[in-house]
Amino acid sequence: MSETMREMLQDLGKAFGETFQMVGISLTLSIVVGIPLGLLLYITDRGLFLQNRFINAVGGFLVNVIRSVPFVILLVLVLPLTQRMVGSTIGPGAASVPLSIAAIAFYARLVQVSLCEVSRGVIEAATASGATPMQIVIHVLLPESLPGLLRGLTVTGVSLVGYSAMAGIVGGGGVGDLAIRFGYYRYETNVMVVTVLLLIVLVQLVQSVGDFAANRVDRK
Amino acid sequence: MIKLNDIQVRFGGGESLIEAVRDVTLHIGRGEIFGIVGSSGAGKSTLLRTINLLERPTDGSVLIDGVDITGFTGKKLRRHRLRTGMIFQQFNLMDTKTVYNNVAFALKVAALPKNEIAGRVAELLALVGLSDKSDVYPAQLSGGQKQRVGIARALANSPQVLLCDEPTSALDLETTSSILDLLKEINRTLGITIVIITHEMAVVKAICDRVAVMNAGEIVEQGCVYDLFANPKNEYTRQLVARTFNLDLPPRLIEHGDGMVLKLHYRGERAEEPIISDTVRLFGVQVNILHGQIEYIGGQPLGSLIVSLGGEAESVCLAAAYIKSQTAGMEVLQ
Repeated sequence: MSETMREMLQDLGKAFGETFQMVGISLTLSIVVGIPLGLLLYITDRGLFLQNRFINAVGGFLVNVIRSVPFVILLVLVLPLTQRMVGSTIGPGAASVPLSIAAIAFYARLVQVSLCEVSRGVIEAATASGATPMQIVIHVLLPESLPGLLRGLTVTGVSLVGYSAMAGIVGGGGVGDLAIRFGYYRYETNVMVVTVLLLIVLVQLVQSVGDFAANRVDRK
Repeated sequence: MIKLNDIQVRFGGGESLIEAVRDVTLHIGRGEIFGIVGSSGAGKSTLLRTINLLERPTDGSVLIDGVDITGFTGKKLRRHRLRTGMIFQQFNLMDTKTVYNNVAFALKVAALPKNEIAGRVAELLALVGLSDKSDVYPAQLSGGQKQRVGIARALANSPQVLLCDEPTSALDLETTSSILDLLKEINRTLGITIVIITHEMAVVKAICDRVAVMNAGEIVEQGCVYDLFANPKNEYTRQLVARTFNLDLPPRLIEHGDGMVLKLHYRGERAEEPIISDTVRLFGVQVNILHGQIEYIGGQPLGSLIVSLGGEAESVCLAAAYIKSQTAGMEVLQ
């Protein structure tokens, strides 16, 4: 029994490492790419300072396309791209490609929603002060929407934990993969229960950290 | 100082065309407090926003000190906006920034050297009486304090013009008058031209030198505040003024009152003469005051009085004629 436990703990540690890797890479990319993309969608919208119907429509369409493809299908669809970018279609690095694509599109929409919450009056006041669009973005839009941006990031992080489990299906590794291999294929229910419990703890942790950070910066 | 020539602002097109501002021509003098009054939807806000081009006029031109700014874009436009402060009904402060940083933002925009920002912010907060609130977030301030921060921000870059978009409409009466006092003081001590839009005649009465009345996108009347109150020419203006001088008598007083019921209008210095006591003394009639109101606009009295005259018919007639000759206007109500 103790031998099995040790083996399992080892596997579990490795699986968590892989999950963290996948979630970490995709979350970082959704910040780096998703925020600018959401910002672009927002400021090209009607009545804002970079109003551009073409960019807005194309950007919005792309995001919708990605978001309407079920993640399992997206996993398979981008396999050629994954092969080209990572040089393999197996492992957490490879799984990070579809995960990041989905997370960027998801977070970009959440960023756009948070930006819409910024009062138009505040933007108008900044414009009336003589601020440039860049100054408005850096000093007004991003700081004012920061609580929303953090809450959105939390939601994205939690979804990513779930999605990363799916990535296990195509050999991505991670906790979800472990649960399926041991629990589903080998009928070791106790392993599955342990992984599920650990996933619950992980999600709680992500949510708590996110809530704490968002409340810290929220001054309303 | 500010000249608006034939300003037109239209929104939409075809069936849904809205003419928010129609053919507005206005001259606002340097150092003036100029009011634009009208009910909501009259186009006041849109008109005000053409002065800093937050709203671009569809037609017409905006001249500041003789320079046509209507076509300004980019850097030129931003430089114009630096010299034009603006405050808002909903204050429009940034929730995630302290009072200090809200004001400092305007200075950063103007690229003021970093080491001068702190001093200037302190100066501005002292001016609006909020020196002790520097590190507080807007959510912890009262409405009046928020508007003071708005004023400090608007004055940050020493503008020549301050545009006020219903600055007191979200405030209670007491706070309103303290904000109006502050605006008046700023106008007097800094010589800043103030353009204020409002739907409250009380605001106009309290601080404006001149006023334009706006209705359905057009300026229907403009002039000195006193003249406008004393002698409104346009029907819409008359309604606005009548609402401020609310002299409604209960009908029973007019129906069953004794003798002759008169409504007298006072203007200027005459309002301070003892016309009523003179009438009593000269004609031996009884004068009963039923209703009355005297307002002081810019220090000049303006008022109405409803009185009933009783006594011998002939004396009453003579007394009424005397009153008519001594006042700015008289109506016989009964």
